[in-house]
Amino acid sequence: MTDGDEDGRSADDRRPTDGRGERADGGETAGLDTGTRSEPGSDADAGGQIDAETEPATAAETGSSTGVDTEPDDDLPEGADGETADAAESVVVDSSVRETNRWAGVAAVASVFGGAGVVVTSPALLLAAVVGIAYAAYARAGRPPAPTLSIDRELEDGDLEPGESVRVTVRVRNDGDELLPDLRVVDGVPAELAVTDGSPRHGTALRPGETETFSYAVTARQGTHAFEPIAVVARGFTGDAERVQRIRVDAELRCPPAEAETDLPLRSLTLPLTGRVETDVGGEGLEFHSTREYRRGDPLSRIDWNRRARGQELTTVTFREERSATVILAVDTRTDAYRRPDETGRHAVDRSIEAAVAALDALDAGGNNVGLASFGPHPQWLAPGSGADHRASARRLLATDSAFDLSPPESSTSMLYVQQKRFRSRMPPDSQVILFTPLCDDDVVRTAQLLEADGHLVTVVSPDPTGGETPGERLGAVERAVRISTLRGAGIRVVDWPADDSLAATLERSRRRWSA
Amino acid sequence: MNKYAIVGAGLVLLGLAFVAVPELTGPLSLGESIVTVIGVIALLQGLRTARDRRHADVGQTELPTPERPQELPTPGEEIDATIESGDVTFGRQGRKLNERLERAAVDALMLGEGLTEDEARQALENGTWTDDPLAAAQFTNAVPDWAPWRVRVRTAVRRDRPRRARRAAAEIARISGVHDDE
Repeated sequence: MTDGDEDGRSADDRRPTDGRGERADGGETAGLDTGTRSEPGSDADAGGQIDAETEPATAAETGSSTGVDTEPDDDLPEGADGETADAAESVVVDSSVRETNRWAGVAAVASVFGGAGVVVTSPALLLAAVVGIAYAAYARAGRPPAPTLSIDRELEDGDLEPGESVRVTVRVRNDGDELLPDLRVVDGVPAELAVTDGSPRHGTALRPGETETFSYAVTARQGTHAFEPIAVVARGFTGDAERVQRIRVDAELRCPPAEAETDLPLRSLTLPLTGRVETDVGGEGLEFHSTREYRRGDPLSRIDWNRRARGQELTTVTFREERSATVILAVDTRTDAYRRPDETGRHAVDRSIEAAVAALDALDAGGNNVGLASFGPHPQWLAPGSGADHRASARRLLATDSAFDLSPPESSTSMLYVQQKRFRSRMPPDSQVILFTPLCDDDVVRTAQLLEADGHLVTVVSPDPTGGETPGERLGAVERAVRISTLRGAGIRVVDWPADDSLAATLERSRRRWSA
Repeated sequence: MNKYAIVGAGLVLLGLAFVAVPELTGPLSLGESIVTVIGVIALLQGLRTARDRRHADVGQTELPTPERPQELPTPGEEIDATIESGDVTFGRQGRKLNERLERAAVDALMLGEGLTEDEARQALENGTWTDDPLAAAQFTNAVPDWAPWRVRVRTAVRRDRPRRARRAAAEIARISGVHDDE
């Protein structure tokens, strides 16, 4: 697997140009993400990621590769300076040496044998000690290798949809001069992606210049999934000490939300504009509402001529007016919302976002003004609007913005009282609120009640994250059921979305109950 | 090259020199005893290393497990953790657990059995809300009189607070119609 022409290069021209050279060869530059994430001192942040891709329907596939120097000091400043040309460079995030204590026993045995042999003047014992001492010296002589690796990660091409399998190929090349007898590599699969085929781990020995490739498949889920740093453990022949490195190769898997238009019935708070929300107001429309006495100016087509023919008064038929509404979709993104029923199930925020996207599409198609807000420590707000552009930017926010991240917020985990208040005061008057929350705590129940009291009609869509394996988990389910009935008691509509049901089926059930 | 290696190499050279030219040891006037002393030092050093080895495990870096989705809690998991820890009577955690159980029990009785709040609290105090003596004992602090004598004997000899909490949680779930997954 030795890459012949790469060998001939001098060390100097190899390091800075590798990444770009390989990308050009592979034709993988489209949608390459250069956003840096966990790097201390790095300026680039999530804001750049949104701009990097204007069309959310194209999944970005990226392969990036760079010569990585073992000394973190060499590379860190480059990344931190934010030079655009080098921004895609993978860097050694940290590097440390760890003793394995694997040979400590040999030294002990050798010393004990040697000592005993001298004390009792037994040449056989002394000789036995020599063997141990030889091994101990051998172990001491070995030192952990300092690997110079060039790692390249490539994602399968094509448009992605949630649930599809994506193959990830990782190439590791030994750019250093020394042989790496024992190299273990674990790719940093994004937190929310599950590996379905192959393994993201690889163990190998690499001669200088040799390249090793391994691949695995993950199941795509909607949202932006950044790869974590790759963990590398290198040992020498003796294995007495190992060098542990974390190498960052920036890549992101972006999967646009599925096109799932479901009909979410709105409540009756509407704007005086034509739309699809059925109201109790009689006027223009399709469905019969009532008849009333004729007033001057009523259109001729709405006069009840049959009644007139029977010799009665002139009456006018009114129809149920269909109006549009302003709807704010609020997604609960507090740490309390990141809950899942079992180890592999989808967590509540992931499902909330799926429901929000579905609601967004349906409401926008129905001619409503739709806004977007995050109810969490990272506030995000998109003012109500309509149209294809608005829908696209709302979808993009839901799929890529850090406020709707698929991992719980690391800094500022809880939501301040002021933030909750601001969240409520931001809601435009006469707007309805659809709150997507797993209802795992009482705060969110209070917020929903306060919003309802503020005059916004609230609908709660609640993905169920409770399990039922242990008494504690069942008690958690009871507490959530109590919250749901508290909300329903306050006149708030709640869609309880079980973990093993589709959103469409759940909404259909809810609609039947509401219209009954 | 650390300093120990230099000292070690020097000592080995010195030893070889003594072997080659035994007369060199003359001025040191060393007898047989020095051999024993060196042997004892080596033995002690060996024992010390063995002791160190016993305390330090053969280690290797724990590699991450990126194959699975990140670990996130399930609602109610912390209740199980508190019960597991056995710290269910005293301390902040224990008090919180008891409050939570009581509130859930009252809510469950109100929603599931249609009692008023007062009736529900009364039922908890009297231990009549359930036919599980251990669950009833969670809120009455004593196993009720109607419990079979075997249960009363067993609770008298065994510390069973965590069990009471667990049974009460299960009983509350049963009343609310939440069943286990299996």
